[in-house]
Amino acid sequence: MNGPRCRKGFSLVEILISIILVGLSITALVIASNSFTQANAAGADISTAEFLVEQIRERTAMMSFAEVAAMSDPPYTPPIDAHGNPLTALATFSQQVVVAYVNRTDFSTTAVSPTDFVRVTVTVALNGRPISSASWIRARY
Amino acid sequence: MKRKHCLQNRAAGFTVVECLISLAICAMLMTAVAVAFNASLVNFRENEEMFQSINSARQALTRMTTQLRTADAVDPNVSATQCSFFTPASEDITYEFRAADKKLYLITNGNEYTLCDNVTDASFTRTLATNGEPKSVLISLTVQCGSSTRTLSAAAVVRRAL
Repeated sequence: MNGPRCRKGFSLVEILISIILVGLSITALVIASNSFTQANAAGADISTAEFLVEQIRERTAMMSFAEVAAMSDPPYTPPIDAHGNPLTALATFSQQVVVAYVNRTDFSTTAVSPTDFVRVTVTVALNGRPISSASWIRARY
Repeated sequence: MKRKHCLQNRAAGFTVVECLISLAICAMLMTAVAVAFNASLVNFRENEEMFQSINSARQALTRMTTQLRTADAVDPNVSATQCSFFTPASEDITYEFRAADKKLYLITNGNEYTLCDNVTDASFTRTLATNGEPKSVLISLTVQCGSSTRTLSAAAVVRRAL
């Protein structure tokens, strides 16, 4: 402390640093609590999507093989329940159903001509973004 | 020496005004931090409660649909807030929503178990096959926490009735 700088106290730089530190800690607190909300909402959305996949699965369980094989609807917006009624409370979700014939010797490959097995794929999207998907094989019985 | 000269001129330490100003600034900063912290705490509690409610609603729905799919006989003549059926092991199981308690109950063997709390609405919609037996049950559960509500719905086709 030589020279003319003899007044003690915090310099402007020190004050600025301390303000930045306090600001950073508050920002971190807000971001942490916000990310918890987002994680929670994402979990709830995914479980809703899983139930929407199940609705289609139950819907196809009630249909005949020919009806399932002929399914070629545009995405259901709002999504539908097992009886085809729209679920208006979940209007931000949509269900896309894709049905394809598969080879009887290899379910993983798509068949060109109709067989006794189809693969039903349901993709559930939230605001147009796919968040859950499931597929299963349906046989003619 | 300059330093000595300076100390002689001005007594070391803070003046009352400086102390008051720094205290005021400190208090303002602490208040801001406290408000932010309290808000995040409230947020955390609400999230926690919501998570618990949705989680138990999801488990209840999965449990009910799984049992209904393999059910032996579903009772077609109960109210929309009830679902009653026999499992393949001949257990008599009833799920009941009581709006007064805001709870979903599982009733079996004369005992009542709470499956889900904070339920504001629950309904079971049965569709009858041509022989009068329910062939499918649609379940809708609405849970509420604070100001936010969430509706989950699921369906189960009774495989024996197909």
